[in-house]
Amino acid sequence: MELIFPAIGEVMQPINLVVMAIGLVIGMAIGAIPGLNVPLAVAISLPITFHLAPLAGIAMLVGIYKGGTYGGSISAILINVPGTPAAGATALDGYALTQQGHASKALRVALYSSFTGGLISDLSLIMFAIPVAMLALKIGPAENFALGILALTLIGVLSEGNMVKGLIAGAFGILLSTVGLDPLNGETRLTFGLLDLSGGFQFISLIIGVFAIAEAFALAHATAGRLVASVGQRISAAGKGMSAADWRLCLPVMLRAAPVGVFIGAVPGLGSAISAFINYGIARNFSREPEKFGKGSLEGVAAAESGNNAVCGSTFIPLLTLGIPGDTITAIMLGAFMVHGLIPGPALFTTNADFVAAFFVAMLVSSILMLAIGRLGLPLFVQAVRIPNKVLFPIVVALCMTGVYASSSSYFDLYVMLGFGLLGYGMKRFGFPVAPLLIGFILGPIVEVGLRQSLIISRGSLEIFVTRPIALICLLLAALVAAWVAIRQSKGVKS
Amino acid sequence: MKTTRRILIGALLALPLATHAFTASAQQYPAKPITFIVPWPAGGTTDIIGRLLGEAMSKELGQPVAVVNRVGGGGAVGTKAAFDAPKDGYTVLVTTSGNHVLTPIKGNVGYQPDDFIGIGQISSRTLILATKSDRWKSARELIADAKANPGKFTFGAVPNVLPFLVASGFARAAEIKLTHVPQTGGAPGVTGVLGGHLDLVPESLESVQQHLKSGAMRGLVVFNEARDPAAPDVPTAKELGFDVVGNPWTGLAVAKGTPEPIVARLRDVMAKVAKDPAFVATVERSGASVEYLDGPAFTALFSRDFEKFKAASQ
Amino acid sequence: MKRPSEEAGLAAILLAASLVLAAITPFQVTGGEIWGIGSATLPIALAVAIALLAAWLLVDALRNQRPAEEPRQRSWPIPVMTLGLVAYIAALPWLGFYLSTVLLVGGLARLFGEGRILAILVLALAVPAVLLVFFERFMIILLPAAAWN
Repeated sequence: MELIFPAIGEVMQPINLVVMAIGLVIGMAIGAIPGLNVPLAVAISLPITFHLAPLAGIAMLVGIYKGGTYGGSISAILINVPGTPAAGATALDGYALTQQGHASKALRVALYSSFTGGLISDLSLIMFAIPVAMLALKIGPAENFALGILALTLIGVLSEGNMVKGLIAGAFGILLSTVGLDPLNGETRLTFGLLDLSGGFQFISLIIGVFAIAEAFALAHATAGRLVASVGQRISAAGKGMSAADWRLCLPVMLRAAPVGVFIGAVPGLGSAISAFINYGIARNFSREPEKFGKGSLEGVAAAESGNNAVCGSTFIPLLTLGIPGDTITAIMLGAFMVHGLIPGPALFTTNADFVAAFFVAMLVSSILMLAIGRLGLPLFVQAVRIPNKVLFPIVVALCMTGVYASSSSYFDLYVMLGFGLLGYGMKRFGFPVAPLLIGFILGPIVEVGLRQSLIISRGSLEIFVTRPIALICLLLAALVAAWVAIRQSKGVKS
Repeated sequence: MKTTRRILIGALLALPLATHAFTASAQQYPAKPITFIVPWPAGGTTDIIGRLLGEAMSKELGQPVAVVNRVGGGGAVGTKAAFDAPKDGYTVLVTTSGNHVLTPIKGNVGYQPDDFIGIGQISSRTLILATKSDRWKSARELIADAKANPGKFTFGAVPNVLPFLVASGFARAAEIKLTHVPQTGGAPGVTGVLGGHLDLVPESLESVQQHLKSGAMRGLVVFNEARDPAAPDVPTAKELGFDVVGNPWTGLAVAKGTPEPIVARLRDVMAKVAKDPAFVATVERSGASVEYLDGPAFTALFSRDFEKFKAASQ
Repeated sequence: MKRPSEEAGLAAILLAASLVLAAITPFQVTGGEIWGIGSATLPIALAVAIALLAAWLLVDALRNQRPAEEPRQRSWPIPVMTLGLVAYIAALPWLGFYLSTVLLVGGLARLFGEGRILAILVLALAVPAVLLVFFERFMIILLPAAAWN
């Protein structure tokens, strides 16, 4: 505890605050631009951070990471372009809110939820790192499979009222995820001889296609080339801020999503997109107004944003306590730590306690700075809704094309995005929900890899899923949720 | 900001030529930005080294270096893209033994290792077979245990990559049977060993070094010609009597057919950068280390490793 | 549930497509099986699941036949925009990023209902220029150059 005050003094040095703020702004911009993602932002800024003092360099990386995780929500809400995969869950309701004139409110919910989720995650990192890490280490292939199955039941939850179509969308999402190299044997599958397909479908092409490009198709269909008067959308007065009732609605959702996000962040290999979608599904399940989900639910935005930012702090749990980088960002940060002579692991907390304390303070300070910068920028961001669609959407389509090209320099990915745009448009028109498709796509590999790895380890015996307590509990819970959804569904059909 | 103004004016005049109006010839190379293709994801080891190298080389070359990640097919997508690009020295491949040698062994991907000319090797890594520290104390112990329990012990590795090949090569040479549990990356294998889900992991020394130092893991054997100074107490497979050697490398290459003066220029610039202590220090800050080989020596690795691992993977 | 006949048609197409996929998947994978599960197992299982669900959808749609409510709306914008975007992607390596994107933005602005020529012109010229400067100069990510360069 006596280490905290010197650490605060160190972190509060102007240079550290400035580079952290720069990192946050870069992160938000990169996060908001489709195709440019956080790993890329970190990779590009790496040479810069190497020229900074170690703490400043790490402060900048932390800023980019947090800013980038939050930034995706801005474009998701305002223009239906999820700048990052995790913001896809935010777009589901955020853009609907914008269309209803509640952009300002939705942006606030996203910002405050991001802050809340991030803060809880930072605090968990500081207080519960060791026990959470020990729990995360228990997650092996069998547990991954079981957790994936449990999460897949959310497809059922998100399909309520439209079960058959939702399940088709979910199964199709998993199917899409199997295209490319089979991760278990490195052989190609369903690539139809195309080398370009051997990398599988990029999530960014899928998500931008089904949101932004699909929306552009819908707009084209609606206007059909007729001249439209140039009146912009109005920011309705009711949509300005969050009322006390909104807070009462959203705060419990934020607080519930955060621990789930903390856990997902601590398990190597899952990540913020999974957390966002899972929390979105959980929030719908517990909501009093589940029918509003997908049509402009504040709870949906709160769950997705709290959930994806709650990953930010806890991804450092396995890194600091066990020396395990859970994703690309932490892998890069691991290098930065090691150069500083730090060996992540349990000993870090005793041998380099001062540096760890400074890092913890930097995490907290960056969350607060993010809130401040996000709040200052909000009135500016929200101006986007004043731009009429006929001007906005040509820009959006050009931005999406450019961003996706920039992410891979591949024309093929642009055709893929276009194809997914048509898919998204068609799904909307024929009443297929999009959320199950995306959840299926991100969970498919986890379930498949988990299952096949488990069977190799257990030499073909299914017992592995029964003898391992966490796996068994998850599978039982999954069965329970599935049964519950089925009962609710059949009741709904009767009434 | 003369160039920026030029673009803006050009843009307003609807002249699409603004940024690309350059003519390439060997005399004035480079006259426009150079692209480094990285066939692996942004933020990974290869990507970071490629970006650091690109940044340093762009200062020497006087032109920006744009790094592009073209991921997929075990690196085949990016490598093929570099092979198909105009052979004018404006497309450079940041290549690794994986995409360059191992992927073409597996099947026809539209290029062969010898379709490229090496500019230079920037790093070469040591592979180590590691286990949790409360398991076997030595490779001999592992071998004895595995002989008594064939197929019982698992190792985690991405299929068909070099760590996988050396681990299975080792098992074959030692006449033991280990069960391969395919992984989606190097880090998950290490995590699996730490979590007790896997028994062994073959990985680069760099990525398990922190666990060796903290005492969480133990190295049993390295697959080098000689011991690695960073892990001096871990014997080589050769010392144990098994001829299993494999070092994943990373370097720069251009497609064959690139004019000789341009190749020479790139080689000179890379040599200068790779020997610069400031650059070496920067790479070390990223957790990797510089192991430079000049162009001809690096090019010689292509066919040597192709033959070697082709034999090993059959 | 607006147009049952259309929905039945869609369900029938889905059913047929998923069955075809299930049938050809074994020829689209090269990997073998371990413990009864191989590369093809999951895709086939999913294709069959989609086929069953589509069959359900088809039965459902045929049972709830209702007369089509409204005549088919104009649908030309979708194929036109699709072709336009395909043309754009195809044109990128030939015309280069700037010129192609000028045409794309201009065309879309008109399609989305912008009527003022000047507005279209300004938008079409400015947007690609901003993107070009941002990506090429700021991010150092090269965008497609025109073929004649």
